[in-house]
This record gives sequence, structure tokens and C-alpha cells, in this order.
Amino acid sequence: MKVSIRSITLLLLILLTGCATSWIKVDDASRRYQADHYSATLPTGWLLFDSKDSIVLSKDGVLLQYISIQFRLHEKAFEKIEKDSSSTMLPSELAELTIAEFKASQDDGLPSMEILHNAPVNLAGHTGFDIHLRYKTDEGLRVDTLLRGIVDENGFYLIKYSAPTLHYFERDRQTYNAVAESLRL
Amino acid sequence: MKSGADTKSLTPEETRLWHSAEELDDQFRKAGYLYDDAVLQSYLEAVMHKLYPEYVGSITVRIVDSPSLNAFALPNGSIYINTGMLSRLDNEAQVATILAHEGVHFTHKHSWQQQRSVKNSTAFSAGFGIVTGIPAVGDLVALSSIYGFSKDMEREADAEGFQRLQNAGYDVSQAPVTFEFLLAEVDALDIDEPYFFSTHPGLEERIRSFNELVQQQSITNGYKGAVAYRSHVDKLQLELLTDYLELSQHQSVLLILERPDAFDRYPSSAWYYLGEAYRLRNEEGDADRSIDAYRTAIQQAPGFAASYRALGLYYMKNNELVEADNHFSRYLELQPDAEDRGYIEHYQAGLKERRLSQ
Repeated sequence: MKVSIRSITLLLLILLTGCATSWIKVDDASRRYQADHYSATLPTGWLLFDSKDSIVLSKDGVLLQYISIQFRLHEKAFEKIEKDSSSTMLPSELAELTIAEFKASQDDGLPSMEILHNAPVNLAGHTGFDIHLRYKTDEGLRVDTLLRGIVDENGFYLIKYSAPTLHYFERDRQTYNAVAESLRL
Repeated sequence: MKSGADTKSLTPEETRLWHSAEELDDQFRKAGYLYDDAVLQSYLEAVMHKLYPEYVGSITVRIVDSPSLNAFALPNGSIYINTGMLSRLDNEAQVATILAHEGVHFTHKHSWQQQRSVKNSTAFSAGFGIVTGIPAVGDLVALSSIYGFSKDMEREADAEGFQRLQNAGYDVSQAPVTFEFLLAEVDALDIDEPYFFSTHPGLEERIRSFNELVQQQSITNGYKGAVAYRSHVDKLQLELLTDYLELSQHQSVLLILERPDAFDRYPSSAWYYLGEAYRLRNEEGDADRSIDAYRTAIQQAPGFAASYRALGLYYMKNNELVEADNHFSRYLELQPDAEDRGYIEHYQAGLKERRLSQ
């Protein structure tokens, strides 16, 4: 699972550069999460890796499934492809750059990646993108990834869910939908 | 075991490496790194057979679905060439130059010799993914031709490959041309990684060496094979432009399409890709350049849908609501199953609201 592991390692490295704490279990008291730039309702029983404006959630371990919410300043929105976001960006333009950044974050540019769905979505009162990707890791494991993103005057917000296609992806998809729908800016 | 391959004469160590290479072949296939085009692959195999008639069945050409410029050989006779490399070449003689060179690494067992000299394979494999477009795959990397072999081995591969090229009846004057365009790309994109087994000084030296070899030949009017080659890579060339844009690598698209002869090699719809590259680069004057390119695409390739979409977005941003709507409608007429139909219909609904509110 080199592709997935690399993505997750990068994600965790990004988080660790912030005010990282250890993994904590989400309970009823900590369910409503308040970051500097957004709030969201988290699934109880899942483990939370908290770095303020960027968080990772997983139930069984990040190799089996994870949900992340990231806030990025406009000038740091797409660092791999060296592009900024802006509050006036169209959802399709934002989707285009998000896919480019996702592909660029892999060594091989993910030739096996398929875009199964790419359409506008309303998220926290803003029109953004809703993308469903599928790709194979270098060991041939199929992985599905969902990405929803929006921009406002502060920056770019990205909610991501990734899990192996078999068994895990569909099982926790509704949890991701619930987290995404609970997002407030 | 590869059909027709003779491994009986190999030492145990060579046999081990052979099997490792076969495992790597399997890994590439399973992970979806191979470009699936049986016609193109059989064409390249036929070129290889012309170059190495006595090795038919022992050398297999495989195409890697990666926009980076590269080709490399494994010690079991698998020769890999990236779609990025294929898309840049102009004719069969040029691809034969590369295949002939890589074939020598296999026939002369350069990997086995390299094995004895490689002290730190980890260092070799560290940047493998960047160079090949394939994630790192262990110590076998050091034994493939990806980072190049010793200077002597590379010179041997150039000289022997050149001889193979000539024996097969190819136009040998295309050999230095093959490396000249690589050098141009290395310069233009400011690439500092090893690129097709050489950095800038290595490529310059190789061009000089090939030019000397060409000058020693009395006959240089061999087979170039431009038409045959292009007919096999036309589809791939456009796919590569899409790949570059999807990766936001607009510099590569500009390098390809700003060539004076670009539109002799690419269809008129490539004007759209040029427009997209300018839009993504977004330097001073690029907005106008991109609009001009989209308009040229519509004039010269009126059935190509994406140009209407691009102009529709431009008009929408400039509050030219009717023009925007018309272009979006034309886009969806031409491409009713467009993947981004949801966005376009969303934009059209917004345009309608704006027009009603005016």
C-alpha cells in the first residue's frame, strides 16, 4: 500500500508541524469540534488526531479508513502544483486543482486513477465540488476516495474520505457524509 | 519465465536477479502502471525485432503510463518506455534509437556488471519514482538502466545501439536529434533529476558522440518512418496533453505546442490545450493568449467540445452572459455525456438568474 501509506504519512507530517496532540477517542462531550475556521460534528467512537484547523479521524486505523478535514490558507492551498486558491474561484476550477494536487502528491501521478463522480455540491452554505476517485495502489489494492471542497475569503476547506474499495469504503461512507454535512464555517 | 528466454546459462545470482525482474514486471502490471494499447505495443515490438532479430522472444517492450520522459531496461529483457517519451518523438527512427540503446543494456548484461559496482542501492532508489513515474521498488532499481550505467557502458550502448540502428536500415541522422529534443526539455523545464539516464552534461556529450558517429557514415538516408510512427501515437499524444494539464504541468504543454512545427504533428484541437496551458500559467498576457487559442480551436476544429466550455467560462467571468450561455449549450450539445455536466448546468442556472435580475 505504498501509495496510501505515502499519502497518509504526508498528511500526518503536515499535521505534526502544527499543534499536534496524540490520538484521542471522540465521545459525546467532544463530538462537536470547533476549529479556528470551522466546526463539525465528529463520529463518536472514532479516533481523532487533532491539529486545530486540520484533523484526521479513523475507526480501525488510517490504512483501513480515514476522514480528514483540512483548512488551508489560499496561498498554501495547492503546494504540490504551486497554485493558490481564491475566494472567487469557480467550483469546477477548484475541483480541477484539487485533482491535480492529489495526483501530484503521488510518485507515479496515479495513472490508474478514475474519476467516478465530479459535480457541484452545497457545503456549509457554499457551492463547492464533490469528487469520487478510485485508484490502485502499487500492490494492486483498489482504494476509493471522496473529496468535497469549498473556498471562502479565509481559505480552502477540504473534507476527504479514503478507504479500500472492498468492505471498508461503503461501510463508513455515510459517516463521512454526516461529517461533511455537519461542517459550518 | 519469459517465452523463448534462455536462462540455463545464467549463474545462480543472475537467475535470482532475473526472477526479481519478473516480479517487478508483475508489480507494474498489477498496479496499473502499464499503458494498455496492444497495437502500439506490437508496433514497438516489431521495431525491436528489426533491431534485434536474434532476440525475438527474449526482449519484451512494455509501455509505462507516465508523462515523464524515460525509458529503461530490466535484466530479464523487459524494456520499458514511458508514454511521455513516446509522445515527444517524431518518427520510428527516433524510437528505434532509444530501443536499440536499451536493448544493448540487456544483451550485454550491463545489470549484472552494475551489480558488482553498486555500493548503495538505497541511494539509487531514493528518487526512482520521480524519474520513472513509478514508486520505488527496491534494489533492482539500481540494476536497471534508470540511473544509467557507467560511462563506458553507456558509450557501449550508444555505439552498439547505433550499429543496430544502421543494420536495421534506419535513418541514423535521427539518433542525435532524439537527444537534442531531450536536452531542450531539460533546459526549458530546468530539470535537475537524471532524465533518461543523463543530466544536461551527459546529454550534450551523447549528442556530440552521435554526431561523430553519423559523420563517419557514408549513407544516412535510411528509413525514418514518420507517418507510420505518428499513426500509432496520435491518440497517445492528445492523452498526454490531457495528463499534463491534469497534473498542472502547463510548461510541458507549452514546450510541445509552442514548437514551430507543433501543429504539423498535432490536430487543430490542440489549440484548446495550448489555451489551457496559458490559462494555467497565468502570466501577463496569458489570458489574451488563451482566448485567442480557444477561438482558433473553435475555428479550426468546430466539433471539438472542450473549446466551447473554456470560452463559456471566460465569458461568464466577464459578465457576457448570453455568450457564456450559448457556449455552454454548444459544449453540452457536442458532448452530452460530459463528466462536468453538473457544473455546466449549475453555471447555466446561475447565468439565467443573473439575466433575469438585470
